[in-house]
Amino acid sequence: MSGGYEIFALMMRYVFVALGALILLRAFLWLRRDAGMYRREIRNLPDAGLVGELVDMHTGEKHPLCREGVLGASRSCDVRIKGAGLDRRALSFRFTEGKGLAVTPRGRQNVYLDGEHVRQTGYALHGTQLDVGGVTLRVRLFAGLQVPRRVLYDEDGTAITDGETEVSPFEEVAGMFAQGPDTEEMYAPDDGDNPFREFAPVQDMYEQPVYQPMPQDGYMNQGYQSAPQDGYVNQGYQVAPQDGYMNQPYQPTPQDGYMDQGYQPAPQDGYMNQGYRQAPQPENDPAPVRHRRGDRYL
Amino acid sequence: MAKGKRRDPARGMLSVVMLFYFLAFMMLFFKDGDWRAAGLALCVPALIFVGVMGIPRLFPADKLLLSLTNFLCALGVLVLYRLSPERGFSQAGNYFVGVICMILCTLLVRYWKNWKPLIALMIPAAFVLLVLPLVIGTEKNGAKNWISLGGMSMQPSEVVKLAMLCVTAFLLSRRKTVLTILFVGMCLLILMLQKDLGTALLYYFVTLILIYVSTGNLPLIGVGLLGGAGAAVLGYNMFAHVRRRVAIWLDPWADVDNAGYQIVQALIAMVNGGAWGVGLGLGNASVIPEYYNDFIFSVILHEFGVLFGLVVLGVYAAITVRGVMIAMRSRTAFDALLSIGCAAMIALQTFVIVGGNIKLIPLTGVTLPFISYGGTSMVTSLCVIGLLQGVHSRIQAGVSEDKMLAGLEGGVK
Repeated sequence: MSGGYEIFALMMRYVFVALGALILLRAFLWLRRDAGMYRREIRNLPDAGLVGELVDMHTGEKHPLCREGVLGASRSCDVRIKGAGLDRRALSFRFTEGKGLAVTPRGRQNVYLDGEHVRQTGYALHGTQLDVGGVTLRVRLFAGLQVPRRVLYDEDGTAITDGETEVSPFEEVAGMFAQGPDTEEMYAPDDGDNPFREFAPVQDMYEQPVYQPMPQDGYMNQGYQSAPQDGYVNQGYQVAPQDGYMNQPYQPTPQDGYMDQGYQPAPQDGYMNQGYRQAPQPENDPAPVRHRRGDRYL
Repeated sequence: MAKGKRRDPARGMLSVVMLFYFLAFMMLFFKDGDWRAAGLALCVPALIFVGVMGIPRLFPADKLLLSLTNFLCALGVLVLYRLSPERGFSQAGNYFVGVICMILCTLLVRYWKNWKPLIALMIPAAFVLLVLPLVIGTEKNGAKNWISLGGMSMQPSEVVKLAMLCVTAFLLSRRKTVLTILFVGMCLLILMLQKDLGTALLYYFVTLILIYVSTGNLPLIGVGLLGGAGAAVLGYNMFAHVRRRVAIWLDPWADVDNAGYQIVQALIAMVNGGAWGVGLGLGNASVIPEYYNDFIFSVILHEFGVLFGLVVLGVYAAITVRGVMIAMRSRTAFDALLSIGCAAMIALQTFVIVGGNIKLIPLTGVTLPFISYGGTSMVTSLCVIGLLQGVHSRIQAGVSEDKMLAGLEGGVK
């Protein structure tokens, strides 16, 4: 080993340490930069990581729905509903691509999906009504997720099973890029000729509302309208046809009555209302309904 | 994004890493005039460049993790080549195999949808692999954890590490805490029978961390810690080689010529190195018996100095921080637990072996991830990084899906 190499190596050790420190510094800066970029990216996406929302049918409250978690009254739950007689941990849910929202009861309270008792695991689709512990929730899943459409009734009125994936990619894309509703076809003309405009007044809001589906019935409430006398039901709320998910040809059961009471899609949430018409704000919000344990407004 | 195209941070990082290895291998070339070193001085930086810039073009990958792991792997090749060139080349081969396995793991996590049957397959496979060394294994350094198959020897407990991470993350994400404890308890029992206590320590602490992360159940963690302490006392009384290790750790100078020889040589080497090291190529760290495996960190401290050792530990810390970052961004419990487990595994393994090297804790026979000589260890460490990268790419896919749904930018990946 020559003396020259020794001096060279002794000098180079400082270089190596400096290079190592530089690598560490760059790694640190990279980590920080990446965190900032991710934060900015997520700030533009308020619904990032969410698959939909749960709408409380009595209070109108909307609970953002993450991909998986627990629903209950406890503070540690991902979806927390207080003061309704719900168990601390009532059920766990998990979004499954191609199947919908898997719902598993976790407490002693019964869980119903569209009135059907869930024993092991049930799958909730967009529009499914979820009843647990005196709380009635409507599941809304975002358009564009890989979820089968919810079909309850055929055109003949015969019940058929849900769980079939029928949305072709073409249909999905067409729904995504649809600019606006086809007004002529979808909206009932608001003149005196409409035979469905007038109904008998509904006395009790929790009685069976008199709904009459129209022939072009889509999902939410195009076509079926409540009596104007019941205060807040009939706010001229209109739904576009091309939104991919919302108006698959399924028809609500009569129990769907709570769907359009004071309930409106958020105007600015980007993708929820592509192709929707926003409903006008109701003048008077309905008084919140007190939950009672065991109440199930079916 | 908003202010035009920013510079890729990988370029700045890579230029430094490549310069480092070019200089280091050129120094070794000047020292002996060995042309293989000159070849490595060109090949290693080129391979690092291809690995960091090329792999993300073909497969989902995270460039930060890739460049940091490449830095550590190449450091292992450098140190091993300096002490024994054959081991250096062999380690480079291990690295190739490891990168392929890493890509496979990434693709598995990214695209595999139905984990349940896979986990159901992993659990018995893990048990079989763990029991195998007890039946046909060979004993090495007091632990019977090696098997030889057709001329190739491997350490099954290293491979089972991956299965254990996946199984634990899956079971805990399905809230099956008791089943998790049963599974890991069985694994720990078999590892105790193999007397592979270092790996058992890793499994134990990673599981505790995962249980804490998934349930937040502090009383359970307390019970687990008490149980671990009890098992440690039991192991101390049961196994003679554990008692010997602890005695060496407490006083290595009592038996300098035999039992304490290794740790004393390592300590002397580190002290000789000092803050700046003795200089690359000038040290004589090969007097440490296990310089290529357990004591490679001492060799690094000897030749490059304590400050550079701190840099290496900082790189491990950066990898861990990145893993935790990935866990916090991930969208499902399984992803989060898997990445937390991977990060904890790398961090704990580094802590256990570095602590053993510097006589902070008793020495246990685990390898320094990415650097230590050994095919199984290298492949497993890179696979752990592959799992992390798979979770990372799933997050990327989720964000791009969110963007598409929000109508900001188009396209599902």
